Amino acid sequence: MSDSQNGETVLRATGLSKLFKSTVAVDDVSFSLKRGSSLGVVGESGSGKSTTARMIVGLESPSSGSVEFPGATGSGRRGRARLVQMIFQDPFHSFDPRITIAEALEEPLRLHFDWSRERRQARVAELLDQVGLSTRQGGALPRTLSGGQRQRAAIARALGIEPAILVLDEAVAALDVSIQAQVLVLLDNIRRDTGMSYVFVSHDLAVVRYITTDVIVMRSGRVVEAGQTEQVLADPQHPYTRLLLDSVPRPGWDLDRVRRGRLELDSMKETS
Amino acid sequence: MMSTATNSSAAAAAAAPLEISGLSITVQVDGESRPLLDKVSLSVAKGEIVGLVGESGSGKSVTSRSALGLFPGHAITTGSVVVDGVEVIGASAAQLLELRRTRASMIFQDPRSSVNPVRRLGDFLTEGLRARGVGRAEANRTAIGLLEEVGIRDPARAMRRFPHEFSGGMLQRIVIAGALSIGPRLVLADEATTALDVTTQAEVVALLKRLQAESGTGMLFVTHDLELAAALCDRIVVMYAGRVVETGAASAIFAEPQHPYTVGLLGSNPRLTGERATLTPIVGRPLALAEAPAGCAFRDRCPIAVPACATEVPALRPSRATEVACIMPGDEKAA
Repeated sequence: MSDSQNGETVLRATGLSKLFKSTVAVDDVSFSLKRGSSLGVVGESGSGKSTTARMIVGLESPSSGSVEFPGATGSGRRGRARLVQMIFQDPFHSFDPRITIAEALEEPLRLHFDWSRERRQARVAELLDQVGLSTRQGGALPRTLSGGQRQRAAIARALGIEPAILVLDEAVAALDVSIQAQVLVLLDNIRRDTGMSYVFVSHDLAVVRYITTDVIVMRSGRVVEAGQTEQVLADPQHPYTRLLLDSVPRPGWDLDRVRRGRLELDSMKETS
Repeated sequence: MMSTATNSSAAAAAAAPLEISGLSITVQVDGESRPLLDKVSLSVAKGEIVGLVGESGSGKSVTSRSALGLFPGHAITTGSVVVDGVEVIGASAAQLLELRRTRASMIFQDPRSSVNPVRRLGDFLTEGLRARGVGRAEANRTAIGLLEEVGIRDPARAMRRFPHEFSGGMLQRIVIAGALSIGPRLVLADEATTALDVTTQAEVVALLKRLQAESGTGMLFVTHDLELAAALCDRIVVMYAGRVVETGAASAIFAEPQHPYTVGLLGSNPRLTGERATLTPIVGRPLALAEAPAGCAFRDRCPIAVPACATEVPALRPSRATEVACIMPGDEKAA
């Protein structure tokens, strides 16, 4: 957690808003990300968390507000790609089904670096090893790998060009529990070893607690609470954050408390 | 054997909602036989919620679907599946229809796939009742009552609306109302709350729990989420690679798991409270029965496996508070 205290800012979002026709998807969202830290973006469907992630990587342009990368040298689309990489929930759709995993990993290296073929392939081997995939799996087509293996491959490809920031949108949500744990440990180790920064979009508070240092809680496009992850989860200030926490199933789960939390939140809406 | 099981349970307790014993299923794929389930036994008593927990390929969905006679195509099925005193294996189409209409109902993960998108909700909710010969006016009254009970505002108006006019959470409530409209002895919920937002999941679980308690029906709650199962269920059955590996009271499974797989599942879940512990993931990936090694199917991933694990499939036997299929249960904790 202390690593979020120091380090220079690598990403600053200021007053981000996004309108889809007349629907406000994201409403005046601001946050910053320091080098080596991990920011959780928590919310339910319709909270605007994915749209926020997509604006960071440039897949959506903000209706107003800005995304800045202080200290970045490159510019344009390629410059941003060099700086920020994104990993999606379903890795199957992020691979070309006709080329092998190793070829898919080599592609961004060819695009961004002026390297020899040998150097690229050495880097691909290194990347496969880093995420725990064998050379044989590297030579396989995406459809022959399991979901967990494909997600590791997606992580390896994103890491290849050593971006400063990795944006993960529900990247472990579709994985089996035991595979999810493997990927979480891998991601946590990579961040600690490389000083890469994460923006980790998720609905799962326990996962967010494990993988992030700071968190913003979003609801209906707005940030309702922000702070250090441990602090926010241990002592939530906003009733919505409390409702989210109470809704997580566990032994001794108090469903009446969830109902009361919902009522409290609904009454707030009427008075505000 | 089938008939004795039926007769004895009928005599004992007017038949449990669900009694599966020694269920094995093998399918033919490309001329090869591929086993899916191996001697699965479990039961659901009246008024009881049993959690069926497992990862991909564990066979949890195949097991729950068997209770409605929904077997995979070209399957060779042995063992016995008795729902409310009726043997499902080898049942005629008419018997299965009667079973699904009056004794057992299922709630799936995606409510939109359970509801005809071009029919009004009133049609969906009264269909089961009308098929049983209930008059239109009375079926409507019952359906409106059910909608009210699951928390739908203005139920009379909702009866005339279409599925697309409701959110996923609201529609799942309506599907639950439909599942309970026939007054079933057994409700099968297959990942019924998985696709919902966490706050909606909590509300739908509260609803399921209340309705189940009021009606005294038995429920088999299929989920990948061991924590959710521990929070909701009375008992838990953990499956791995087509077999039951551990079963016991939910509190016991959660507090003192005996099977290394159950221990691994709990160690894979990040904690929301207490110390931010490091995760201890299980190595490898979950296997289906067809790919599993001989002997204990979990031994390739098991941190405490010994050569003896390869010799035979361990049988379920009591160990502390649970029953576990492992030759050295609970050893990991001692180590």
